Amino acid sequence: MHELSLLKALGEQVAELAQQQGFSRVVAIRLGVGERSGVEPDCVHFCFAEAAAGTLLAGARLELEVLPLELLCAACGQPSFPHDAADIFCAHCGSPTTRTVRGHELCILELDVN
Amino acid sequence: MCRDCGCQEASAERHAQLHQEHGHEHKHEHEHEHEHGHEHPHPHAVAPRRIALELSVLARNNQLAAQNRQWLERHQIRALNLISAPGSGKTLLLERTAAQLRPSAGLAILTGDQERDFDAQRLRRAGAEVRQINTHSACHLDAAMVKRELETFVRPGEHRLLIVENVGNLVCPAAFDLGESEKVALLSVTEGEDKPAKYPLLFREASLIVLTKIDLLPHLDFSVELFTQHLRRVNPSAPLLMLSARSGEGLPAWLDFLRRSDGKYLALDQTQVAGP
Repeated sequence: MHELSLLKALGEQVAELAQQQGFSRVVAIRLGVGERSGVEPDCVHFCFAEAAAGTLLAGARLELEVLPLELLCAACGQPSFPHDAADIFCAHCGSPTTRTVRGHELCILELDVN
Repeated sequence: MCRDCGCQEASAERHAQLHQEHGHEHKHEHEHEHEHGHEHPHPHAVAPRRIALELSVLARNNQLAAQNRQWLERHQIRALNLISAPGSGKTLLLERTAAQLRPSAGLAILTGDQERDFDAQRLRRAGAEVRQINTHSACHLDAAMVKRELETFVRPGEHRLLIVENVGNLVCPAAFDLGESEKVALLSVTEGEDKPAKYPLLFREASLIVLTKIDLLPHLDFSVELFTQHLRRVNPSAPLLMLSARSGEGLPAWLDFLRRSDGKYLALDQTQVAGP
């Protein structure tokens, strides 16, 4: 989607965290990229160095973890893991009353900091 | 020589000690030269600590969107986020809507485009109270942009329905919460029946789907049935309205949808509807 601007937003969040948690440098960052977040892992790698330059993230090791699409069914309470973003039916009971709980997000999972 | 402090110390332990004694603060770089010429892990690197999170990068937008939502609900203003590809007919539909309502009916419109205020001008000419938001580079509106207008343009008590006409785009607007009550997805009959399958997030999130430009159907091979099938696969329940802003067909049902209060909003002032 807009990997560069998302990474810049990421940089701002990390700066806020640094103040709250008392660190001044990020050694490694693990990002969770939802399978259907619209974020392209290749593009993140490509843009990371540029977005990180001059920030706490400069020189940090970037790791990406793809977060699979996960639905939660309101009818039977079971999770489903569809292969297809258009598939919204619960794999257990077939109900369409599912909610996406994972797979659309871009989030910071872990930071190794100094 | 260590670039950080200029010392010649080769022993890792001794180096660390020296640094502690001198109370150095280090800014580490990954590369620095050691004259003794062999690789070793940086002697005064402190083992990094791990912070586990699950912090959404869109957290800031979501936070602002939640604030917007709270503000709107507190003032009982229903807010619709109108999303479609460019040229689907959002603005014309809103022009026709505004023409059916007197200014005091309580409609406020925010319209988003990268550049220019063509849409705001059209809507103003149609009698709407409207503000243009220019994003310049962004291809979608975000919660911060809307928040600014809530603070300066939307008037509680007078405004009962806020319609946000998002930037023409089927992808990104669906992912950026503005704080709206509902998303409305528009698609025109010239765009092809398979769009709900190709852009599932928007069509799934929408509380209402509007199929526009139906006056063109006789000239096209568009199959409403096939479109409906694609739609129902991603959204089994949201109502579908079919209309033509140009001919007026289907507009009454659209106005009915706008007039709804769902028991928690001030509805558009019914006495202020000009025509059928």
